[in-house]
Amino acid sequence: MMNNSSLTSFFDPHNIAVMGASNNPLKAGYVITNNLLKIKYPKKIFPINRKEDNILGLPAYNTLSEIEDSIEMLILITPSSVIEPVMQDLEKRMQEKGDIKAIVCAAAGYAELDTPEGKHRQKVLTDTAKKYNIRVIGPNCIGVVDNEKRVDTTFVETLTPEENRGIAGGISFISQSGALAASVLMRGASLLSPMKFNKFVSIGNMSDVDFIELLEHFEDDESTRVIGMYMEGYPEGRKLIDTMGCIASKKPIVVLKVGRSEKGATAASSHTGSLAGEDKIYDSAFRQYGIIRVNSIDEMIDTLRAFDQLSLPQGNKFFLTSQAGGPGIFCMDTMSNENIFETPMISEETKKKLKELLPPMANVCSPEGYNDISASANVEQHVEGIRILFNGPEVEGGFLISVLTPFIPQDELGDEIVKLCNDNKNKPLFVVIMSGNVVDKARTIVEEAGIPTFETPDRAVKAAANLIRYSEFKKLNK
Amino acid sequence: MSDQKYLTETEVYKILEEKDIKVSEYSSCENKEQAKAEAAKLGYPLVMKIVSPDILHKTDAGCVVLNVASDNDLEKSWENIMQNAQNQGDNIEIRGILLQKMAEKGNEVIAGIKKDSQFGHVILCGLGGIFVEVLKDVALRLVPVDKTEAVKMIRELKGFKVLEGVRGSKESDIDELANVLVKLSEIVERYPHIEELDINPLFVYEKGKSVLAVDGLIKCS
Repeated sequence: MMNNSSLTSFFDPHNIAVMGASNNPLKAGYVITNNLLKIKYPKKIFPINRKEDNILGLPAYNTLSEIEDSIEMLILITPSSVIEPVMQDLEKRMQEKGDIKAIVCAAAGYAELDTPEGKHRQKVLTDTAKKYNIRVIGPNCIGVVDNEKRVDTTFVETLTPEENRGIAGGISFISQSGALAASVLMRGASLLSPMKFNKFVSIGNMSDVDFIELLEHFEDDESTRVIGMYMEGYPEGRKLIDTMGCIASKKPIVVLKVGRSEKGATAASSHTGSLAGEDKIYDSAFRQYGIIRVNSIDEMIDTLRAFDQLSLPQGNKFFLTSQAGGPGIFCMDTMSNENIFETPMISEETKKKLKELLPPMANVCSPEGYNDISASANVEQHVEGIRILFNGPEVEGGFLISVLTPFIPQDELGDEIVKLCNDNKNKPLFVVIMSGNVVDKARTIVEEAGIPTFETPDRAVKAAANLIRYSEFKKLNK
Repeated sequence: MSDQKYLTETEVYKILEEKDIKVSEYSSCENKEQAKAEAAKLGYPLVMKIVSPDILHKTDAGCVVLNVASDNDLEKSWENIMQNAQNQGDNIEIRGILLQKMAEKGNEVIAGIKKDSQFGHVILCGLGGIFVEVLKDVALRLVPVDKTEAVKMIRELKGFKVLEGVRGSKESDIDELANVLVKLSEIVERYPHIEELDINPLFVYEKGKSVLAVDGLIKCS
């Protein structure tokens, strides 16, 4: 199904003009142009700069109105102080050609300043845009990415090699903060296998396009499997929750919401009034409508990747396999803190098979739901026990923790984990290979096969718990 | 006073009773003689509370007397309450005094409604005393709240074990508490101009023995 919303112009524009493009690598106008080139945006890029003839090898223009070709998207990175002449240039073009449908205004210095001047500049921008039915994202944002259509209007340098750009997964992300959006992009790009966003939007001041419209766009977007969101606040809370709730019944939404302070609550005259503060209401509403709230950027990244790359567990019976005692017990503790896991009870017959397979030092199902396969476990003993367990009906998902010993070949372990996961796609396995750069080889093999790995047991547990929460919500709200 | 309006306790009880939320037996009296006659019907011990739309914090104003045990007690308390009420200001409207049976203690719960400027009406429940005062242990839901959601709210409370029964105490009437939350959600539909509603406390008795509202407040717009 084609997505017909007017937001399509942001993600799949026919030709892009960059007002404020620059040859100076220290300027945002350089990074934007460079990012568009590096992602290999397949259509034409028109840099606009009053002084230069050529920007990064592309012919540059003095004004927007003099560009002959048609343009669908305009990126503004010129200082907010020149918004009036820029809008006059835009008006001239629109009267002659009428082709621009979307503006990404990356520059800051608008209504977020909360000064009459800043507000006036924003009004000049939105009034002009409205006059010609142009949609605006921003101002004060880092931009838009669509990896499928190879569009990257951001001024964020992620150091991602060119060949790794434009690889789309199922994660679409909306951020109310530009800096946080940038750090999620940068952190995501630094993972062993870079995080695969589908679409990515920093919405800035929401002068026109806001949360609700973008969420609805992602709802209808078939290639978006999970939606991530960073939010600070939204004036129409109930409307936002209704929109999110409607989407959450189809695809997961993961939210990092900040601002837990309880402003205004003190003015209430009843107990109920003073106890029902804004953040508490958001928190309850998220729970009521199956929206997953996370508490850190790491949890956000882990949870989004797990939703995108692993199948949703059918239930909460997760089996833990650990090759080391301490990390195993740590994992059990964090599982218990989540209050959502149930211990799978394994049949005597299966236990017997496990005992035959695992080293003599191993502890099988002691306590229940947990195999300590011991440091003497070889690669086969790492994965085959899980295979036996996944073949039975008692287990619905699992954790594998390994603290690599020198006698375990990393490539062999990586390959075998990939095979195990591929053979059991309906039962998600959360893989933790510890720790640091030493284990990069094994983790990279697993990650490049499209299976996320986790830094530490607690991070794997949080992501798994979030998947179970969503799965349980879906079961109850069929 | 702002443009917001507070209902008297008797008006609050009428709204609760319309929805069959059980309220501790009460009678609103205009004078001492009537009070004594009503006291005879209700039976001592009683609680006496001022009925005035202008006095919100009745206890702080010295307008509540607990454990009134006799006619003699009642007469003295009547004078005290009236005097304290008049001390609250010149234009205080006093409609009388409410007599209410001293209710048998149950698990103290707070149940309420709040109209939030961003979210509209929300339903709240929490365990009374230290749980709400110190730990802010409450569960909230946007309306409408159905029975399933109401049960989830109750189970979500950190102090849920208190209602389930701990250290030899019996399980509370969780089902009936859930019904009260659903009824609050229905009250919002009928009276959308309610800004805040508090049933505090609502006594929850052991399973099968229902609940009882002992005090209530409603603020309307």
